[in-house]
Amino acid sequence: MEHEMAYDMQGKSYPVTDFKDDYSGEKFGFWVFLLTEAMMFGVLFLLFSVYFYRHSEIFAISSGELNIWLGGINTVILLLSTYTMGLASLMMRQNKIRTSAILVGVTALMAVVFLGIKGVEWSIDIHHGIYPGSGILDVMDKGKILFFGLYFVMTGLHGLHVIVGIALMCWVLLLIRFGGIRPEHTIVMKNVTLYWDFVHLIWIVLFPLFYMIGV
Amino acid sequence: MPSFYHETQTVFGTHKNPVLQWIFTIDHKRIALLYMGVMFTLFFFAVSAAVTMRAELFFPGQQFLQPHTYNELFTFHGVTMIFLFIVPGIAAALGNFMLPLMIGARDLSFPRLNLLSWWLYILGVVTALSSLMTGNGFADTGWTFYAPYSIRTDAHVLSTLSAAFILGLSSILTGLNFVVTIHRLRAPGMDFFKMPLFVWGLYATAWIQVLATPVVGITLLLVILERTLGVGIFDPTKGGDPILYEHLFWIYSHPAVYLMILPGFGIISEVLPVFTRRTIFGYRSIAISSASIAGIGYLVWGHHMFTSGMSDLARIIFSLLTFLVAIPTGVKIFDWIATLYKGSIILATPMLWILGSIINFTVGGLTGLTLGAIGADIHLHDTYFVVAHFHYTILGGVVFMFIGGLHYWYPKITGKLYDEFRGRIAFGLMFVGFNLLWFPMFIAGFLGNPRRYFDYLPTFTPFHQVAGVGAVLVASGLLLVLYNFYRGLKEGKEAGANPWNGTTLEWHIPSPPPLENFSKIPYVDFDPYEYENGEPIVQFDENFRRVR
Amino acid sequence: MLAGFNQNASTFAADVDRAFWISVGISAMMFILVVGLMLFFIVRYHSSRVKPEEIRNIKHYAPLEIAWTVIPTILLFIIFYYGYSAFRELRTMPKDAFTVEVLGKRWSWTFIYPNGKKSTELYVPAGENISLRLHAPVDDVLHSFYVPAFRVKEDVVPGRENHLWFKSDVVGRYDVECAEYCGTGHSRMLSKVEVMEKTAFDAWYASDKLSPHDKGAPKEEGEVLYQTLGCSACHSLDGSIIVGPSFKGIFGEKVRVLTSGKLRELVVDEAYIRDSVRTPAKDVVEGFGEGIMPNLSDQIDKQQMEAIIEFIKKQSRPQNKAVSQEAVKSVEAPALSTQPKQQGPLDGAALFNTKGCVGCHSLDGSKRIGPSLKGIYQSRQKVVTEGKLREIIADESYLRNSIQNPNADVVEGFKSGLMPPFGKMLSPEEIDALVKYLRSIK
Ligand code: HEA
Ligand code: HEA
Ligand code: HEC
Ligand code: CUA
Ligand SMILES: [Cu+2]
Repeated sequence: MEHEMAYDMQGKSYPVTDFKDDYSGEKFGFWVFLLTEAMMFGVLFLLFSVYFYRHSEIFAISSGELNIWLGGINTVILLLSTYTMGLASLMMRQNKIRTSAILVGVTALMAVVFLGIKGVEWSIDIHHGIYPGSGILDVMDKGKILFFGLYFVMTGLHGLHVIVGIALMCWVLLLIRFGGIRPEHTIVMKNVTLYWDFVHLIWIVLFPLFYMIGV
Repeated sequence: MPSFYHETQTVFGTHKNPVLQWIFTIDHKRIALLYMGVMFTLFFFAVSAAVTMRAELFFPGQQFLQPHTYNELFTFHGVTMIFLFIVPGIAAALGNFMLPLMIGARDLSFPRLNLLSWWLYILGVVTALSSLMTGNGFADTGWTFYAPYSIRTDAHVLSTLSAAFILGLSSILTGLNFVVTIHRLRAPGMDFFKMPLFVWGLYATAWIQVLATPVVGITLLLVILERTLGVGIFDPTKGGDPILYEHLFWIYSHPAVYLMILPGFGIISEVLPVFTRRTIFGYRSIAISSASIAGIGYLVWGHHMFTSGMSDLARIIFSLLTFLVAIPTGVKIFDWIATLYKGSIILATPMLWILGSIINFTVGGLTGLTLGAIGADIHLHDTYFVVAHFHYTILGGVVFMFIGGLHYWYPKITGKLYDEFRGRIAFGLMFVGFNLLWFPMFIAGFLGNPRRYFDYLPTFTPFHQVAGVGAVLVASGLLLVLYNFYRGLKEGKEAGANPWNGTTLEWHIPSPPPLENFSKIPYVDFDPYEYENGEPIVQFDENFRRVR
Repeated sequence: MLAGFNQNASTFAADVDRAFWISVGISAMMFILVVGLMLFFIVRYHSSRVKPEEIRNIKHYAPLEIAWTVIPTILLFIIFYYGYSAFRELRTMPKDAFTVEVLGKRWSWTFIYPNGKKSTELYVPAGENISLRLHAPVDDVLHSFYVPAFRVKEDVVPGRENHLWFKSDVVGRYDVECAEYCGTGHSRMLSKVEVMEKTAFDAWYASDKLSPHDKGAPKEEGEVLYQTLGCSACHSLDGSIIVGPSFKGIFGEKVRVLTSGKLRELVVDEAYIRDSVRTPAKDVVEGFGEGIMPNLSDQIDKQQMEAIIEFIKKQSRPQNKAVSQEAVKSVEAPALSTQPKQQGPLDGAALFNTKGCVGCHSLDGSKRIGPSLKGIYQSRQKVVTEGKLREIIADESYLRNSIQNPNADVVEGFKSGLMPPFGKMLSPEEIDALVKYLRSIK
């Protein structure tokens, strides 16, 4: 389609941006969306720091109870998965559609493994009676209740984002399959990659907060 | 030319069925009307709750309500007015309609997202209202949902909280849409300082929606988790700190009050030049003050917590910062007054509402300063003085501006004219009634009548009775406004494209506008409010080439 | 008039009012300026008076714009300053004050004086600094202590202590209101402050009267408690329902209660009353909300509990004497009858898992929040007792004491205060069972 033009009094022409297929607009919009996400997690980090300040010793003790190995493996997995996702995005632009699709699949698979490990961690804690509202946790020190309250809320919310991420990747795969994402039309893929970077970034902050302050 | 009432696009392409055409439309103008319709309806419920409260308060002692019912009523009133009516308010209704028209765009950047916002809004409305029918009745926490009360009460807080959460999401998406639209879709040539001031108001508002709403969203979510799972972040029995809840709530809800008023300020800046037939005074300072109000507005939330028990130093700092907001607000007010100077003032109905709102808002804003003066607020906090303050700013300010805007753009939206005479009578009723209703409450508050009191000490009887009379006047004025709009639709004269001699882009297209607003996008290399001898300067030919 | 509003009842009321009126005065000036100009312009430049050629499109006028930025800024600082100076006075707590503890709870106030006296209205001597320490029970909600006549207000927040002070030279009675929304009884959470001559105050303070206005003999303890603890805010004595059930004639009657969601019928006896007060959420009377009645256990000792029970019994006496006989019998039934059924000997392992021990103590030697309990019995332990390190052998009495009163001997390397004292939470039988279990862990 030819680009629409607007004309001034002298007849000079200026290109018009339309709301349809506005690549920069869609990218910018997604950045704004990520900003809202950042604000939301920001609040939780703020709460964490306030309570950490008030109960630092017990937070450290409680942190020592988490399994740093499982958390560490998960960190590595997420790190790798952002890499594969980024690569997928790159491959798409280089017209290597199949490789790109495979890489998205691999990313989604890693996300599933991440969730699996997270699930194991949670179930160990829950098995020990450590979960919000449990009779066991509620008679413990306040700092501990808060630490685990925040732990479950924050990793839970992050986990939710991972689940959404997996759904998005499946969607990306479908779009690739049916031509919704093409080397010359990658905005959805770009944004999903951006999203995944963000999810990974959140984890990079969560990990030291919960797993490493006790070391 | 067929208007947008005759044809539309939906998410599914096209539909024959008019109902489906409406509820699945992706045309920003139809979505705006959808918002307006639902808001009107809800607004009616919330006003009924208010009038019921006023009736109960007419005499001291218990009349016909249980204390618990009264608590549910003001919560319902507050929640509906704030979260369902005034926060989406001007932006989602008038802003949605006017923003693309005013910047020369064919729609918002993300029309489908816009529809999604509306559907989320409806979901929020349904969730909120469902608690009237289910569980233990509507929440009884007040619109602030302070922990730990909101954790302990056995009223149906969950659904109200979830509703507020969903509405927050809707509001974020609208804000995001507006931000991107304003950045990307301005007509060629229109830089930021050539945008109409209403757009500036919407722009500042949109950033507040995007940056502040997630804070309250996650906070309410935490209260939900607290009630369902017992997480304990705000529950003192588990080590949580209720004051942190207050902080997080007000970090959103203070900026939210500017989110309500900034589009309203924008309306004032639109209406004034048109009905004084001259350029606005201080365009740039009005535009920049919108942005700085939004910015400073983030730093003052603590003034709602002067008695909460936070540290004395923090209270003093918040008090100091609070006063800073008044400076850009004052600049705006003075600019508007200066705009009247050497103009040619036409007291048409929109102008009356706007001038009335400036008077009311000045009272509301100035009493806000009294509340910001920390020593005085210790005494005034949580009394009717505060309630009067915010009804002056919200009802006397924002709602008056809203109604003014509705009158102003009524011809553009409907293509018809309303009846001037009826419009002026309605304004008179509301203006007098409003001041009768809320002025006495300043005095009652200063004398120590706390808010959220189902019953009061007999001392305060006269104040509440005057207020009761005022409430009746206000409600009848409101009905007259609605009746006037209704009759205008039925029998109003054709308005034509530009009945008021406006200068901004929306007045250059037919009323009601066609489906995608502009057949050709104009090139905009002129300031928004340019008059010469009382006539608009800029004119376009039918191809949107500028001829003058 | 609100009682005493205009009397400058507290020493700083005048300063608060000055801050208020200065702000209102400046505001009124600005209002007159803004609205006056507006009305003048509307009349002067009305379209009927202005020809189109006379319209002036003025866009800027820098001097004016600077003026209306700078002058308001100065005025605003003036308002701030007076607000601040009044505030500083309100918040500078005097050192030599008569300190009263204020307990705000749904929906009544209790005032506790240094000598342990309690009252429902606040009585203070004139001309002395009075400092208030504001508390709420931790499972209660926010309240706010507000005396309009004194211009003071401060929230009462569960889980923390807030402060307030005032000094009044004017003898009189002033209203106390709750200014932070706290539920159904919010508007009825009222009381009075009475400022008394020092001599009158001292006389009352030394007496055992509930209020200086009581004529005749002091009330008996149960009734005083009924008033001061705030039971009266929710439970009437005349059969009417305020928020909770009336106490009239309940003793010995059948009530229907919800116990963890199940409806069952009980007879109101002493044990039931005791439970109703100690753990109100356990049996909730049908038709009333759970979580409304505050848990005031910390405020009530054993002897006071008996007085309350006696008082409630008295509300039923005229009608049925026979029933109380029966009730006396039922006291002999185990006091813990409503606790989870205890069939056979208690299972220590189960208790260890359900009471939260496993959360902190492993059995395999690994360190968690607390030391591992592997092979604890008869092992040597280094503990800190009252700041001194000593070595002991973990015998049975040590184990029992460590459960009941863990902070007495703190194992070296661990922090005091981490383990909650289970003495109050577990019955002696349960503790025995736990000790037995711990002995068996090798
Ligand atoms: C549209 C909504 C709106 C707006 C615009 C405002 C504007 C302001 N508000 Fe208001 N406010 C509310 C809505 C709003 N408020 C609500 C809803 C609550 C209560 C919430 C609840 O508890 O339920 C509240 C409560 C509230 C409090 C808390 C009171 C308490 O609970 O104890 C305070 C305290 O500082 C305050 C201050 C202010 C100030 C300083 C402004 C300023 O922005 C005002 C600035 C404007 C002017 C000052 C007037 C014009 C200026 C001039 C003419 C210039 C020159 C003037 C001078 C030099 C004096 N507000
Ligand atoms: C938008 C905000 C808004 C509006 C408009 C109103 C309007 C009114 N309110 Fe308001 N009120 C609140 C927000 C609002 N209120 C809030 C937040 C609280 C605090 C709740 C709490 O404590 O938690 C409160 C509390 C409150 C109380 C105090 C309760 C207490 O503390 O005990 C009372 C008492 O009388 C009261 C009365 C009224 C009355 C009589 C009106 C009437 O005057 C209403 C008449 C209506 C109009 C004059 C407006 C006309 C508007 C239009 C025509 C617009 C058209 C609409 C569309 C185009 C969609 N309100
Ligand atoms: C905030 C209001 C409130 C206060 C204060 C309060 N109660 Fe209650 N009380 C209730 C409610 C509501 C119930 C019914 C629900 C329940 O059993 O928990 C109740 C139930 C009871 C019962 C059982 C009554 C019956 O009919 O079976 C007793 C006994 C009781 N309360 C004693 C007291 C005592 C003693 C105090 C003061 C120390 C007190 N209450 C203070 C609200 C209150
Ligand atoms: Cu206690 Cu309101
Ligand atoms: Cu505010």
